[in-house]
Amino acid sequence: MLTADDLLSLIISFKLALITTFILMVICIPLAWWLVSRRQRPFSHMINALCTTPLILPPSVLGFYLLLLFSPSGLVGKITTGLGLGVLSFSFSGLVIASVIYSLPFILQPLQAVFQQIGRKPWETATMLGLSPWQAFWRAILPLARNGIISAAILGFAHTIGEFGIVLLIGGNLAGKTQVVSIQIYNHVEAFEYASANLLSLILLGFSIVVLVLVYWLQSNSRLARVNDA
Amino acid sequence: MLEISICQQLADFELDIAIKLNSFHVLAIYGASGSGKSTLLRQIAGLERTTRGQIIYQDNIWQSDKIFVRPEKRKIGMVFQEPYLFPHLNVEDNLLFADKKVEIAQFEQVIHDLELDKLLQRMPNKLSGGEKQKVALARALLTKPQLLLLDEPFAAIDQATSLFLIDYLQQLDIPQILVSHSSHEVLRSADYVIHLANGKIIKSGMLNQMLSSLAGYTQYHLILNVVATNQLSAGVVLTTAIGNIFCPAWQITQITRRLLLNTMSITIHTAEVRNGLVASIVAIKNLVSYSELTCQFVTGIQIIIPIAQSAERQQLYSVGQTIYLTGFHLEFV
Repeated sequence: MLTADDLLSLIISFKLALITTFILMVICIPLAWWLVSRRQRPFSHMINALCTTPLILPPSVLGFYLLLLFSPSGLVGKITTGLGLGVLSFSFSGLVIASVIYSLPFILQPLQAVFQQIGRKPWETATMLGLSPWQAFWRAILPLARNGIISAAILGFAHTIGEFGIVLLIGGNLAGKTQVVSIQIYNHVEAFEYASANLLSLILLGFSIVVLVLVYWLQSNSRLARVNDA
Repeated sequence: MLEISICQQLADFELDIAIKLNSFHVLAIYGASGSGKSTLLRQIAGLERTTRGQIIYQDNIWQSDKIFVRPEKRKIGMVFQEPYLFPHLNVEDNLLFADKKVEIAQFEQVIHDLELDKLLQRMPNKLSGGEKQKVALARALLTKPQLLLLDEPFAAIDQATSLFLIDYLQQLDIPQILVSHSSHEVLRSADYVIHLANGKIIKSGMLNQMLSSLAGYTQYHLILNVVATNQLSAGVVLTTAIGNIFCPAWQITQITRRLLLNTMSITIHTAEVRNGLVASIVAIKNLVSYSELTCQFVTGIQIIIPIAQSAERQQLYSVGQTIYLTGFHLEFV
């Protein structure tokens, strides 16, 4: 049976994933379109490289530097304490910021792939029909990218659920505050509570399979895929 | 009025265009693939920005060193070689994509003219290439453009549909710029031609002045618009700018708005003959193995007829002489 702490860790994990995914979608949809539209510019290569860094960087390295930045003597820490927001390390807010940075490429890259697949033709067609760039993006690009956007959100959500290293470094292991499900599994294993660890692991395993099936289903049923098949 | 003066370095060559046209109905930008014609069209549309130069249309500066009018503000309709229809919308929604409040009368007229009445509920993936192009053209026309840009619109569609669309476009009262590598398409549609190669204008002029620049045609060809037709049992009498020409039934496979006249088949008579068209000789040019007679009809239209030099030597023809022409070989284009 799940304990109260187990349930709480699941709730914190899902809350963290939900908030992170929402923030990332707001950032990544325009950013991905901008990067795909301006892939020839040298400046965009730099942004692309910067956004992809969390993909190859060990989470502990990223967590370590964020911890230094968030600490009261760090650059970000000085600003947040100066603004009366307190210190971000070992807080849920800090955890959200760290998750946003760490999961960014997992949402940005699928979105870039979707926009790349859509190409410039719909945007140019809409523009030549008199639509402003914003209208063209909203009315021509987003409907075509719908399933790709949902897939990217699901992947980002699932990835955030599974975060461990960066969460442990930034959030610590504070029950009911920053103790996410992956850390709770770690705690159970440390305490030789294998049955509880197994139960939580099975929940995450089932969740992962459901997520992947959903992503593949969305991809095969995307509007672009249907058009290409025809 | 269209004034283009641009200079831009492309991957393989420099696009260097300078042209000023007071008026045109169909301006054709003709050239081989990779000559820069589509880039030029995209710059007129505003889809690409030139580094140096200016584009002015109807006294509106679309681009200069300081000004760049975005494509959606230029009131241009554009039809691409590969028609793009939004795949998640049916034909009707595609047509109304730009403006759902389009005038009903205009909407009905366009879908009727382009024979789209029965396709309105179809999804784009259930349409043929020609049908898609018709929808793309109708959608562009519903925005009431002041200029229509056509980027090789007939290249990927069947001949019957391309003939239908060319005929339809000819009737529209909208200035058009057609990009094409097909001399036949230019022949069918254009009234003014710009011949482009490696980003430079080789030659430009009215269609009949440009025929020798079009692949497969020479200075001995002439394009005539058919003003009226009179069907007889043995054939058709075609009213053209050089006079009434009888075309026997066996020579007709289709009747279109334009005729291609090959002057090499013309027989010249010095005395009046039945059904002979009257012209006068305005110039005689002796070449190495033959001569060219430049003849002018009463309407001012000139044609060049090649003749054997022996006939010229015999002093059969002289400048200012009235002649009578028969034996027209006609081809509907």
